[in-house]
Amino acid sequence: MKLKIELPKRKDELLKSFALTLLALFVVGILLFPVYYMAMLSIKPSGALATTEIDLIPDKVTLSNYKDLLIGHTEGLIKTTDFEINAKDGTIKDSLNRYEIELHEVTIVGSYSSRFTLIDAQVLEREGGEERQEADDTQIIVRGELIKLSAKQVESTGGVKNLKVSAQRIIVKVSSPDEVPLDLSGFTKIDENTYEAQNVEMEIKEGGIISAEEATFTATDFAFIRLAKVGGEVPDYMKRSLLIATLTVILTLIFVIPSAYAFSRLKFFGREHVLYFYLMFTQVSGGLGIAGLVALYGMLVKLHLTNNIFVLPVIYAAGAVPFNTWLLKSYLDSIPPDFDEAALVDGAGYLQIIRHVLIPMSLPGLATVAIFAFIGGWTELILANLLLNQENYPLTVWLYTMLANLRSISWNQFAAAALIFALPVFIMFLLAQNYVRSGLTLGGLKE
Amino acid sequence: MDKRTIAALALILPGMIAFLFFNIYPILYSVYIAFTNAKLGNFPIQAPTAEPLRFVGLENFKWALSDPKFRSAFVWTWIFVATSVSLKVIVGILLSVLYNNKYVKGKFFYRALLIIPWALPLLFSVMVWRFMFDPVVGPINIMLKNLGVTNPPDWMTSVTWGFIALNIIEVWLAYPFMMTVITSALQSVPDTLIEAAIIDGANYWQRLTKVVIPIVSKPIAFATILTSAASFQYFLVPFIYNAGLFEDRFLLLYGYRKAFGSSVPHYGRAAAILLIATIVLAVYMFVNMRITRLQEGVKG
Repeated sequence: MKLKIELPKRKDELLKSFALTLLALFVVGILLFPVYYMAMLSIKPSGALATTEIDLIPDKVTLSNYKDLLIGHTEGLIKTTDFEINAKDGTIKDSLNRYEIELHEVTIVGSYSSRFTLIDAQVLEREGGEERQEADDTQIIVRGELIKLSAKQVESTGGVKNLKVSAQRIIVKVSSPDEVPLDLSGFTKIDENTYEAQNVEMEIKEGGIISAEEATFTATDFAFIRLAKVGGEVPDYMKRSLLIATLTVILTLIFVIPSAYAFSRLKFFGREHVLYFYLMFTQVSGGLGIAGLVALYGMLVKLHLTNNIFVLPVIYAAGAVPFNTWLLKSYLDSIPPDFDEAALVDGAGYLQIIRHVLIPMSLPGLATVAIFAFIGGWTELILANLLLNQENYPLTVWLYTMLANLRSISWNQFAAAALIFALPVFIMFLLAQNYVRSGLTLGGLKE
Repeated sequence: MDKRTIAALALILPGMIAFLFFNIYPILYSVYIAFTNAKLGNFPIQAPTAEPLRFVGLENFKWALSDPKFRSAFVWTWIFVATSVSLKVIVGILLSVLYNNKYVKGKFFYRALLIIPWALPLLFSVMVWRFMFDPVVGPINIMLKNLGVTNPPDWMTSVTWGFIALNIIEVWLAYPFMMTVITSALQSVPDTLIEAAIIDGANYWQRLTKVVIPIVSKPIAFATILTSAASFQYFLVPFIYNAGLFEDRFLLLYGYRKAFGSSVPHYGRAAAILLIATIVLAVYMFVNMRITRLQEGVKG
């Protein structure tokens, strides 16, 4: 269309064109920056939030925020005395901050009563122990002989003493070289207060806080282990949002198809009045919706219909009747009436005409109405927030309550959740956007 | 009634009954509540110990007019309409002119990108901006700090800065609409008319004021009125952004909070506030339509 680029012939025009195109690009960048930044945020590792500079391109990309929200992971807590950790990378930090040991391809063996948290834990092998299942899928095993788990991350909840370490590479950073309770004889000094050694074994009497990544954790004669599911709550909310939105679509089509047909094809008393009334309502519906909220709430409480997820689609579909009727009526107006009039002459009933003639012919119009209805049901917040209790929250209300309580979740995960919520709407809008523009001029449509 | 009317009624009724029951009836019922003492205890369900629900005449309206918070909300709603609408129109015109300029290459592509805010659900957009304006981790304050502002504003808890933030958010939310309307208006100016003006010796300014503006002013006025109605009905954005902070800044929000956001809900007063807001909006729209004679435009 207008993508063809013609280079202007004169030099000052070329310069002008260059400057203005640059300005146009810059303005696009500014205007879309917030959305871009939110998307970037969602693929950064959790907790990696800059407070001093804006990094436009994340240096580490991860889908773990999405995975945590959609699937979740198992978090283990184990109490044991004898353990062995085999890990790709790990650190041991002295609780008095005298040293910090960085380990690669390491085996840590210990015998000291301690607790560990294991992120993304998976049981590989197990012997003995009493097993107990709790209501929320939490698994507890008490006094087992042996358990072997793989985990993305292992962390001790306090300092662990008497450790034996063997690793391919060890780097020790000390705060002051004079008072280090470590034997650094086999190490070479690589920097100030930093020592390195390859393929060594060492004993760390004072121990410290262990943390390891990509690890296998083996415990013998452990006291207990508790495996709980963390995250993965989004599908639950999504399910409810999807249910509400789907029912809104079905009800909208039931409400709108017959009446759009009647307004488009039949001449009857009061037709113009109702159409004008519907049109006026679409222009002020937002404010009137809030104005009627007090009474609607009172009505539903009296009818015992609060905290009922099936009431919402009816209200959403009913509220959008004027807009959707107009939308579909305008579409039907653009289809020549010859076919359905012929069917009428042949003796078909109105419902037969709608079913066999109009629905097949107006599929794009129906799809648009369905998309609007779906977006309406998927994104509504105020009523759902007012009427539903926590066990019935759809995505919108969950996001809204999270926004008020951001301490409990990282912004990265929140951004991912927000994008999961927005993406279906975005795609549907793009599918229906030509009709949105025509919906804009709805007020200008002639009958 | 002839057969055709009955058939038409049967086809229209399912949708219409649902609409009347869930939209029109609550509005009428709200009007009734506005004249009662409905509050916690006697509404929606009468508690035995509470004061019975009764008709109180204009008491709620008298209360509203003497309530300092209502007055503040009323005044600030209009201030918001004035500031946000001016900004929206200015930004809309500037963007339309820029992306309609013949020297800009790839206009089609930019316009397609620029309507993205329109395609996003409002809740998502407000959450994005809530992050943008976060005092500690938000990019706006980080940028201000990098520019040497040692004490950047607190967009979250300061009413003044929060109000400015809401204006920025509203402009961002509304520019795709403004831009689309104004751009199509600009494109409807016939090239031959401008060429004729150039041949007649009109300079750029004269062409703008004598040829372009008279043609585009009507669609712009139309968009301005619609968007000012949207500004007046501003509810969801302050509600999501920080409902408590803006309670006495936006009429609809104040009405909502009187019913559902306070420890002692007063439904009668809330309904009265919302009724006043609705009437003011209706009068405002009516006057605007009359002044600009837009209904003629609507009828084509």
